Amino acid sequence: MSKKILLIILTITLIVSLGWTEGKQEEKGVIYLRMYYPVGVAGALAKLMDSMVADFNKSQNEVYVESIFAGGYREAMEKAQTAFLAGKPPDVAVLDAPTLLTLLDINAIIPLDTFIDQEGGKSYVDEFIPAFMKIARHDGKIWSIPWQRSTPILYYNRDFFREVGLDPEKPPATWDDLRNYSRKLTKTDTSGQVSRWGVEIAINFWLFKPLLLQAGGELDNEAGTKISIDTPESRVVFNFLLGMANEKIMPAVKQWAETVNDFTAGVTGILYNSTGALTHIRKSTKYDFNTAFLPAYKRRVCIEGGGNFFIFKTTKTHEAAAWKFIKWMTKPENTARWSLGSGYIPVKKAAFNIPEYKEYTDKWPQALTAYKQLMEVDTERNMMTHRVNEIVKLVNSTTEEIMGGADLDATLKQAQAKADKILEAYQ
Amino acid sequence: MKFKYSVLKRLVKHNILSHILLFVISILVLIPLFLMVSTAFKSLPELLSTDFHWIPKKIIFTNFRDAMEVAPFGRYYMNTIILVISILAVQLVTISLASYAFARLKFPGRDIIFLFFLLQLMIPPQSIVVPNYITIASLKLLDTKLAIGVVYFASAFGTFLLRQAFRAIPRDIEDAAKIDGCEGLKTVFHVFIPLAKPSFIAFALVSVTYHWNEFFWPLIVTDTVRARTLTVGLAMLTQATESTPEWTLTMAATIIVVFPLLTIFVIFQRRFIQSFMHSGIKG
Repeated sequence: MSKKILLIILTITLIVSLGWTEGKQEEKGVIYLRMYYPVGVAGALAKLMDSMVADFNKSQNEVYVESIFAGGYREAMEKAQTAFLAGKPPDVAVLDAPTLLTLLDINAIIPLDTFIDQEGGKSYVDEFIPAFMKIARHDGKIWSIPWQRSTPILYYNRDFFREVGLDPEKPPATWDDLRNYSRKLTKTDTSGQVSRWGVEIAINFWLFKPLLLQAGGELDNEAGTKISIDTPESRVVFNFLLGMANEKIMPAVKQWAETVNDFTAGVTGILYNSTGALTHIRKSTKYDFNTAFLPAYKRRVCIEGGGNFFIFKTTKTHEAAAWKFIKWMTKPENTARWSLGSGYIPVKKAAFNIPEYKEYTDKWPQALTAYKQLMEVDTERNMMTHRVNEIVKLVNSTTEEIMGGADLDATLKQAQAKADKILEAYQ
Repeated sequence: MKFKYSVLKRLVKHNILSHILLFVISILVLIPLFLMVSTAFKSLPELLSTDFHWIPKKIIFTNFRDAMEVAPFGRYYMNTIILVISILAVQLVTISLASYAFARLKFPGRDIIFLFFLLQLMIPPQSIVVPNYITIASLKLLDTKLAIGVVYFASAFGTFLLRQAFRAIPRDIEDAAKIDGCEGLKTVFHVFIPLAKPSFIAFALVSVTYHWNEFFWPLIVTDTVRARTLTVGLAMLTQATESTPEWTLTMAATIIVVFPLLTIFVIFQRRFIQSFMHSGIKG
């Protein structure tokens, strides 16, 4: 019997311990902030984030920030939304920049213009890479501050270029180049099976939008209330892609991670992917590779992507403390530190002059391509609409269906109708 | 036709057909597990090269060390174990009492209440995340292990399972116990629970696996290392959607996470399968 009693006591202790907290409570005079952040690239990023936040906490004694890992971009957004609806929003969060409109729809965040004006207004904004600020603006206000940013770039295998007699210092500059180079790079064995592709472009709206812009089209409108997909320009893009797929110099349907693996393994000569994959590719390939701007067509244009800092509606003191934290995190030396650990692009121009960062780009000049592309090539914002998750899904599935062999006209027409329906309430 | 039939008959008679089928199915089940182990011991360049080996050319152990560095897995282990045991302990009490009431006691509206209870099975947990979160927040339980567990303290599935098991117990046994002076709650502990043991084991297995693997709710309702579970640590590796996940580390971490469950299952395999057969759960 005593054994049973012991067991019961043990169980009760266990259950009581579930509710036990040793948490840091708000101390007198110290403002306690909760920050949600997602992890979007490989590596011990959560650790890096924790140690940067710890350094911020040590640097002063008025604000204490708790860094809270919140999954991927999607989970982080869901966690923030849930907490907001329950009246316990995080004070500050890193979220996918195009979620801005959703956050505005639920009235969860505050504009940052007053804070920016205190820091010097335009001169402060100009410290950032201008292309990254586009997506932060809406209705004449600035709603977020860039943090972990990226842009799609071209990766190409210099060993393969040499092998087929292409100049390894001359990446394809136009769509025509891309097609011609891919023809040369493709290797087909005697049975007609492709053993090496010329180029791989994954099914993803983030790679589709720049192609569409290059063909002279546009996808989402400025206000984020409409997307145009049933257009002559998207037919130009799909005909170009389908042409290469039919020629068997590009696989028709490939998923994101698969294309990266194919490039590192030497299954494709050219790859469209995020600058965020650079560290991974560098670590895992034995080939000599380089990075380049995306090839141009009617326009020489690209887009950006990634996560920004948002400040949630809380109290005046918490909002001001959150701004103080963001200001510290985006100092040139700190954004350089984050970039070195993660592979994202530093968001401030001055970061490229920090000695540690210079040392890195001297050793890996491939890392500078993204920055140059952002500064030299026309860069438009990432796709941003209301109900953006649904639109992303729609564009991805439409692309996949068409590349998979579905009828071009009918699929585009259908997709346009679906998109109009999703965004109906915002017209 | 006749010849074919006799071959078939012989195949069935010697269980050859079922053995072939079982062999194919076990291969299908084992391949992913084997790939997980093999990937965890490979280096990234080897994994991503085009020539594929089932067994790594060079076995390396650094993936485990690196994976352990990504998240505080030791602490997450503690939390997860405390959590699943506590949830199970509370559930066992609530479901055995509730199912006794639904199986044996007579009170007005019993069947209707039971039906409502079962409706819970049809509500996807994700759809009630916000109201649950609001409740937890108002109880001031955010960021505790209790916040993860408390919403599971009552289990519709467990109650249903146990009610069926209790109903199958003959009245005679209950009556015999009554003659010996055993009544009310005592019957639950001395008659019903011992006789429904297989159902309890089956339920325990389902409950432990479910809470061990759960990701979304713990992620939403907890913030810090003091309350978080293993799956959240694993997510730090798998959510690298913008580049590409480091498969070698991810697989090493997956082994770290599933190892205890897998071991328990292998050791008690026979027991579990018997319980499932007995309690009539399929799948």
